[in-house]
Amino acid sequence: MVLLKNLVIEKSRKMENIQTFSIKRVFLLMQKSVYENARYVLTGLTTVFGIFTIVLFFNALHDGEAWKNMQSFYVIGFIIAGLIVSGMAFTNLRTKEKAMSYLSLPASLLEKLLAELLLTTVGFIIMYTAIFYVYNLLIYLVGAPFNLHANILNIFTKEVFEGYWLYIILQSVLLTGAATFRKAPLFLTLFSLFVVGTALLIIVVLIALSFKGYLESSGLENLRITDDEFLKGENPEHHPLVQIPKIMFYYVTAPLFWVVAYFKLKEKEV
Amino acid sequence: MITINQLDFGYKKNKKLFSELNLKLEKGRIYGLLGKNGSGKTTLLKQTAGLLYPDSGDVKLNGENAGSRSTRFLASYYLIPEEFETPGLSIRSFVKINAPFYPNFNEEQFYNYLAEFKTETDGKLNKLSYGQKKKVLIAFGLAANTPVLMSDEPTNGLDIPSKSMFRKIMASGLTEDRLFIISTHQVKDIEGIIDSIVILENGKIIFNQSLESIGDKLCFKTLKSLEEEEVLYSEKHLNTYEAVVRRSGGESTRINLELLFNSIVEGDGGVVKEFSN
Repeated sequence: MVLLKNLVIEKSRKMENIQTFSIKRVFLLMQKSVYENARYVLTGLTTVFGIFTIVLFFNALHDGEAWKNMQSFYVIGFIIAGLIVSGMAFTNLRTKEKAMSYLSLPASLLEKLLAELLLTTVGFIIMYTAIFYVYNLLIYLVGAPFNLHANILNIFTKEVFEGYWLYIILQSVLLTGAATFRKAPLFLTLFSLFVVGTALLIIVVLIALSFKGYLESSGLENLRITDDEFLKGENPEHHPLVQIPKIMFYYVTAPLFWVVAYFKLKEKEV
Repeated sequence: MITINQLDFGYKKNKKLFSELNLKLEKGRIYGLLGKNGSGKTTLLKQTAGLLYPDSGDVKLNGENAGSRSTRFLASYYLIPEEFETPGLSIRSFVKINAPFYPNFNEEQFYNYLAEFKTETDGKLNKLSYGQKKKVLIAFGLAANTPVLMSDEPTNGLDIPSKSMFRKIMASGLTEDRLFIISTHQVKDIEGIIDSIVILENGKIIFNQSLESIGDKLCFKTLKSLEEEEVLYSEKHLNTYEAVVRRSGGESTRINLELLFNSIVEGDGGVVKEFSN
């Protein structure tokens, strides 16, 4: 009887000790996602590297030039594998049955979002890059005896890091799409982007046309944004009209979409 | 332990399923949530699990608001759904990736329950039969040792020996700090394990009583003639009547759940009136 009482007390103590946020739970969620999606991602990656091998093989029969450009292979593979991983985000929301199990799993929404986010951005970049380096090294070793000089990828360049950042921005949009659309989220997100992009373009053109009319009627039809008088000798790239949207795009877009994804996840019902 | 207060909910704005629904369930009990198909049992479980948001009113489990979907709230229950999808993983991997989320999960208990169910622990989960998968989920839910265990039509897909094993295992898993809800329309399957009955009809709780109070007020008899006793509800069989009668004196009979359910859902309200005072 005393033992049973102690057990009940111990159980309730453990329940009370549950923290609102736990980084350990984020890693547990990531582990769960890796376990459940590993086969899907590995199949995708095998296909990507299989295609690389076929291309390199036929190129070796031709002039072997492609072997010297591993950077291009890295970028192309990054985009394709990135889309595969994007398809993996929130797969547990795709069906009613899976969503029930996922939404009732004891972890907060923030932890669930963070796990998906880390896995599809930082986790993916590290995993893909590591696999690519191993592949690159193999290609280097295999090619050397046949006089095929594969270069070794250098990721420590400004362009590569900018590419990562752009990927993270795209990923934030795709993550929001995955949290929004139950069926075919990748396609529907890209389609929505196209529709919104086209609508924005039309609005900008209409505004520009109406401004054109205004400038012409005000006798300012020759005013150009790049005019020295307007820029006062500044590099157009550094002008606030260029800088502000650029900074907004680079540093606001992703967090904004992450917030949207959080609320989309919060409003999910099964 | 579970408090539902003035719950309003409908899948469509102009068609309410629940209107001002109130319910209080206490720990240390196994509740049978009974109702016909489409009466709202699954929706009520989903509301309790925080998988649906109420239009108004609130649902609390262990003092935690269901709508918060906080970790503490989610760790307070385990839901065994009627329909589910299992990953293509071994049972061991399934436990490895899911158990750490439940602070009181007991792996030894889990494998003991599986052994009692005579379920194989080798092979992939998604390759098992529906009934076997269900047994894994039931074993997991019990071993999670959450304060609340909800199961939706748990005996669907179980063969006859497994149904009786299910009853035995569920009864053994209950402790004074836990509460089990078994939602079903197969009343006979839960006879002998539940100690309270909640009947849901057209989105309303029309009956919520413990078996003790039912036994105090009603008797279940096979009668040759309806004149013999104070009959509240009866069903004619070949030459006899299965009847719910008002209890008189010290007699006590075994509760016939199916008859009780029918008397409440199909009867003229006589049985329910017995409990209104």
